[in-house]
Amino acid sequence: MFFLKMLMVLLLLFPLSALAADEQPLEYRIKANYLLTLPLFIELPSQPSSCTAFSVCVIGDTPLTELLEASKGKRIKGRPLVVMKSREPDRMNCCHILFIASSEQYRLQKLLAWANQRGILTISDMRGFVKQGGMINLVMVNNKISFDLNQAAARSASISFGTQLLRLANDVSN
Amino acid sequence: MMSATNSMSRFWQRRLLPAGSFRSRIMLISTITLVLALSCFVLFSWFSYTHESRARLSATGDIIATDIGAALAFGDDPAITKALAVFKADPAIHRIVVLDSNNQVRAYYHQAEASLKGSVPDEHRPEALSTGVANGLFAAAIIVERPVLKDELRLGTVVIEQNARIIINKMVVLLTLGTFFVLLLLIVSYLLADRFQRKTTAQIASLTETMQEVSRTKDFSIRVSGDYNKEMNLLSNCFNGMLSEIAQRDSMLLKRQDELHWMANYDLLTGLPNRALFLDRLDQALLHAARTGEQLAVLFIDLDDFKLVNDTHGHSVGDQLLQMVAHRLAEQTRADDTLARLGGDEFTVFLHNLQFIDNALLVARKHLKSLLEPYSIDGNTLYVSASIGVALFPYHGATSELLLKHADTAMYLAKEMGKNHVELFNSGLHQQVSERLNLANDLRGALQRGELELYFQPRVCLHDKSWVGAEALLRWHHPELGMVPPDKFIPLAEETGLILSIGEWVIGEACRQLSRWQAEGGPISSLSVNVSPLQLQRQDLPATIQGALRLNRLNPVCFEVEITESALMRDMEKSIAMLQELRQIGVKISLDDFGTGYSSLSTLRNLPIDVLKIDRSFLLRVHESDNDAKFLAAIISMADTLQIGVVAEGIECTEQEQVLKEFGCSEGQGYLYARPMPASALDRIVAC
Repeated sequence: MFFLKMLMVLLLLFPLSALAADEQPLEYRIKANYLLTLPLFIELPSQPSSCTAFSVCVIGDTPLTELLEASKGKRIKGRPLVVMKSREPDRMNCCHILFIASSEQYRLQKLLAWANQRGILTISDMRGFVKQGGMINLVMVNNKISFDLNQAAARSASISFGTQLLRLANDVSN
Repeated sequence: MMSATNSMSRFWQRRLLPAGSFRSRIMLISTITLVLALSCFVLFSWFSYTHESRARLSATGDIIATDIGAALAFGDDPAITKALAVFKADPAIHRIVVLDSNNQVRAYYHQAEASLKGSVPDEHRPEALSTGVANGLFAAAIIVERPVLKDELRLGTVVIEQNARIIINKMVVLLTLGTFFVLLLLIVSYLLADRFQRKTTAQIASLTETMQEVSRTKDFSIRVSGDYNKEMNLLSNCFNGMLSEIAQRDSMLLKRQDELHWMANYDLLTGLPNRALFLDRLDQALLHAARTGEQLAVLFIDLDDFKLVNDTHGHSVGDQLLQMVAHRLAEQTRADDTLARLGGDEFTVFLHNLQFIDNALLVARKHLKSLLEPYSIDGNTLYVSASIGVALFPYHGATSELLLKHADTAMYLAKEMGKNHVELFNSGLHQQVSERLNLANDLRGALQRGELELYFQPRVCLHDKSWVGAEALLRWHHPELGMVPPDKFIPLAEETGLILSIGEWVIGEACRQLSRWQAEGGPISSLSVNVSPLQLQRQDLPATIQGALRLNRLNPVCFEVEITESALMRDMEKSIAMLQELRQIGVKISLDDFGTGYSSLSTLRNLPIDVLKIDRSFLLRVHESDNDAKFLAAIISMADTLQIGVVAEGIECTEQEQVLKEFGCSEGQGYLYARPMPASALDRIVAC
């Protein structure tokens, strides 16, 4: 009951953002949640010391951007969340995670190479993202969101997945 | 309030520490101690186990939290449930509930049920769980809540509850074992206490027995012996010390009692029984004699003139003499008769089972004879005689007091008889003696009480019947007996020595009366006063008379001293010297009762006398008997020759007066002229 009341108070305080987030379909809300939860179970290489925030970079068009914006300021791995969106990867600094929307299929290799070089975790919900060299692919299995992992790709970018994550993963390719 | 607390505590003292044996007390203390120890142990175990369990559950919770972190984060509930199913192998884990960051139950495991999600039982609702955690301190079921954290982010909570049976079973086992050990220890302590009790009680019992024996036998020489423990040894030593003290005091007390008894019943000087013991023994002897019809004699022994020994040789010699007398009396006394010293120089003996009365007198005379032997004390040789009075049972009295009193009376008679004499009690004599004694006692106070009075009998000139003077005569008005005749009380006064003070009073009183008559022009111009032989011997008569004359401003010529013939005879030389002294003062001297004594006419020549008073016995038949008349004539003519005046006493008729006149006697006194009478009566006669 107590938590319900708290929720209602929060809803009253931030009605706009809440409504904005609620407008999106459940699928994307879950995916946004996954995007913010996954880093907890992943060892990421350290970014330059000038990057104090935890930056999630989104490239391409996706409703996730809006949802992530709603979670801005939330602390992930002890840092405040920053969401960046740009068409050009080079215009984004200090990225910890790079979400590649399905629309960017055409320059995927180029983007992956860019990310790998910088030790950035690459996530996408496009089909066959892992097979194409992506690290985490959000997939729909039995009407449920799950994920595939590419350990080899991750290793090449000095990123390692936690064992719990490996256990939960739908499929892990080495 | 205070009293309530006190009574409460007393109540508990009674309940907890009954006045029972050592054993029960030791058992009580042991039980309390052991039960307390057991309780402490169980409580400690409980807390310790709870703490331990809590730590273990926390660790388990942390492991689960790490394990299910990702599953919880990604909402993979089946994965969590699967992970929890592992704990099926651990019987200690009762249930596990996993809550997400919104406190919604994501998964739960229960030991007894199949794992399921969705229909969460009420007791697993978050509210119920938190209450359970809060109340978990004393609850058997331990519940631990651990957070699921990932990089400071709280993903949810794991709640683990331990099976309540575990701790309860553990405690039951502990209690059972503990109780068993407590019982075992109690049995051991009972056996030890019993042994201790028996040992201690035996020691106390032996002490008590000794004490009882002491109080029963009154034998304070008994001592407690035996090897006891430290405290009992101390007690027995104290007890022995106390017994020694008591024994010492007891013996001292007995000694004192003996001393007191001796002092109460014996005479210190001679060691003979005293009056009390004598009377006691006499009482017993009298009881026996009354029953068997025996005769019994009481001897009352008094030394003659013992006072003289004391006065001349001192009390030390007197005491030694009494001791020797006691010794001699004891030698003459049968062993079963009792000799006692009543005090002073008085001793008593009673002879029981007397066969003949004469035997008592025989024994008394034997005593007298042995006492007469000379005594040698401090180089002096002393001679002492005794007077013994004898009273007989049953003839002279039935009680010890009466017999002693009668023996005393008889002794008094023996002294009267001339001392060194034995006298048997006689009731007639007793009467006389007691009368005399009573009279002597009364006489002692007569002067002070004013019972004595002077009477005066005028001395008459035979020719013209004029009063030439008067003789002062002493009279005693006894308050009960009336007028006591002088021949009865004057000898008594002489015996007792009272005559000295009475004589002095007479001289003073006579002078006072004479001076009054002279001053008032009374009928009497001169007085004669009788003087006792004792006064001649003991008193400074001239000084006394001179003092009285001067006090009343009298001419000594008016005063005449009358002395009897017999008085002069006792110590002629001293008497003559005294009379000469009196004459030097100017006082006249007359020889009273002339003719009754043994003085020859020739001695008259040597006596310094002025007047001769012829005794009344010569006048009785002087007018009838020729012989008497001739004798009287001779006296008168001889006195005339010696130039001594003659006064005839006891003239009762005119015939006597006629004869005296014929013979040339000029003065006389008698009833014919005037009886002796008080001064006031004399005054009245003259006035008429």
